[in-house]
Amino acid sequence: MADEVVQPDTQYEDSGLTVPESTPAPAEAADKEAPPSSAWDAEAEGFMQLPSGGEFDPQSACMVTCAAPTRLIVLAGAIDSGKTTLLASIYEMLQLGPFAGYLFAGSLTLPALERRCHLARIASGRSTPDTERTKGMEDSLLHLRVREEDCSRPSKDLLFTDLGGERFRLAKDSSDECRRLELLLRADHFVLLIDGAKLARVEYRHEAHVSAASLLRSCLDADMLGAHSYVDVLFAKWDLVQPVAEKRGPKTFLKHVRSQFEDRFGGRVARLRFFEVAARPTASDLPFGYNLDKVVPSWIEDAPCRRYFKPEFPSSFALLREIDRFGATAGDHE
Amino acid sequence: MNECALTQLLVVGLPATGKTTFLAALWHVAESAEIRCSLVVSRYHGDREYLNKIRDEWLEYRQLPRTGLVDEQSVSMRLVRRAGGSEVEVVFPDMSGESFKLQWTDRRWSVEYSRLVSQAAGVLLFVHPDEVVEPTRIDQANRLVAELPEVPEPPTDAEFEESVEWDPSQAPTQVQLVELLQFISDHAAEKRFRIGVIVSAWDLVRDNGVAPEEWVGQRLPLLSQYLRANSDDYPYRVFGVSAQGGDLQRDSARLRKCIRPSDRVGVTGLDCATHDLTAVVGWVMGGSLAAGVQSR
Repeated sequence: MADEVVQPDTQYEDSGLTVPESTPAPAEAADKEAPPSSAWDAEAEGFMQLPSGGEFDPQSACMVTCAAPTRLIVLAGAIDSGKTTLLASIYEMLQLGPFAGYLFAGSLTLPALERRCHLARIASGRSTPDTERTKGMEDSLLHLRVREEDCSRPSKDLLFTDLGGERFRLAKDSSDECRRLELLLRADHFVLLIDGAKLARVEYRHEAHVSAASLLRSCLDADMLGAHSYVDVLFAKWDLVQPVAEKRGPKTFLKHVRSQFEDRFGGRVARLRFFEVAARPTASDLPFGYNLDKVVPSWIEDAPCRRYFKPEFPSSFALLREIDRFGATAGDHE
Repeated sequence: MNECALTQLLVVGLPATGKTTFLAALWHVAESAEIRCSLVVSRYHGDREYLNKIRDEWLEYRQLPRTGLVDEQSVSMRLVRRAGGSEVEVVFPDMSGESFKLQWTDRRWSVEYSRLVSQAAGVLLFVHPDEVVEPTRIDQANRLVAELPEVPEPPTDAEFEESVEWDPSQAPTQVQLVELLQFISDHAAEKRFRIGVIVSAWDLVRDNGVAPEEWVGQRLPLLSQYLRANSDDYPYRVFGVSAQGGDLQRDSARLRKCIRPSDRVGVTGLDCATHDLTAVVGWVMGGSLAAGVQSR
């Protein structure tokens, strides 16, 4: 087992091990976000800085991935397709008690999660729930640690991406932009959300379908996803689709979407599944987090079987690119 | 010789959660030994002015003032099991709840507290039933409003609705408490220590018929899960404690009837006698009572 390890797959070799000039030196990057690992050392005026609890970037996420096996769940989809709401809803479900058979065991990004829930809480002063749009081009990751309710096995660490929809629009339209989404190389689960608000309307539903399919194809053709990948397609905001879903037209259309995905991509990925979810239903009697309990356990338990050659590390670990360090350490313990 | 083992317990809790009242009552129960309690003060030592001051206020049925940031200090008691054994000096830093709030909001703690954490052998975590901020979602609130007989106004367009900015100080209590425990577990030298969760003013909820652990599961489910999920490294127990014995106004007559002040105290929890506040401390200290973590 010395040479072969289970890790981000052969594409890893293609990602290179050189340091792009734009990549900040570790210390420089550390200053940018005050990563938790160095925060303990900060001492001024009799106070010590504590971890910020903000979202991780791939570099600071190493403190999670280096410490324990970690599942990386990439939430992908168009602008306003419900990626952040999905993540916030999983966290909100845990606020109420064990979720889908799992206990909340901790999080190193609690303030970041709280911030994402704010506009859906009464503390925001609003009367209708909302989610702040994820802006910017950064790779943001949020952390959750969970453990089975019977505590029969150790806790498991999860990292969810929170990337703006604009990133995925660019990735859909350009293979070069797609290759910039380096987190995909390390993804254990690629979760593609299709906006139910668009699926429910004849004038928007084709664009919603085609955009999602184009994004997945772009990721596959750019070798960012591949035969090892686990892909879940989520028909999000199902509360908006449900009222029309039983009518003949929409029902046929949704069947068509599924069969198109299966025909085009079923043979190119390790697993392709479909779920109807409503993370935060507003338009029907569906419960909060509808169907999330069906899909989330597999994100925790399942990891794609990947075999690839462990790269030879440069003399200094710090010389690796962020994504290389992130990927190189993430699965070593498994 | 005055040599004895030294154990440090952290007293953690957000503002107004009964930390100082607990210490006042604990000092009285352990020092007076007027009831049959698990731990007793073996001998006086050091400066006891603060402990005596807060005990006097407690004995006089006065509401203890909130500990301010400038009033923080550590108190220590030399305790021994009533059944016999070695003497242990237990140090309790009496910190302001504001200090803990600032850990969450400002992401910093004092160098002094950092030192205390690194030496801690156990944690007493305080929660007050009236001070719990819950993470209420708008859709939950709207569902309740919809059940009202009056027809509510139609919701505003979400996109154009104004919002209050996120303020970390308004975050749910359970989230803040989990973060405080995470800070401690990251920084403590002891990688395995006990956590005693103290639901103070237990008289307020006792009549609901739920056990303290059940109450935490209902009102602070995120904290409850965190404790369960991490109980291999941090064994925990939940205690319902009424250090004042009741509401100082409403229950005044009943409280004043107690011949022994220790009888005012109410404790609900596993292996705890009704008034024995020291049993809570005894459980958190665990093995420390047999052999302290440090000697001096």
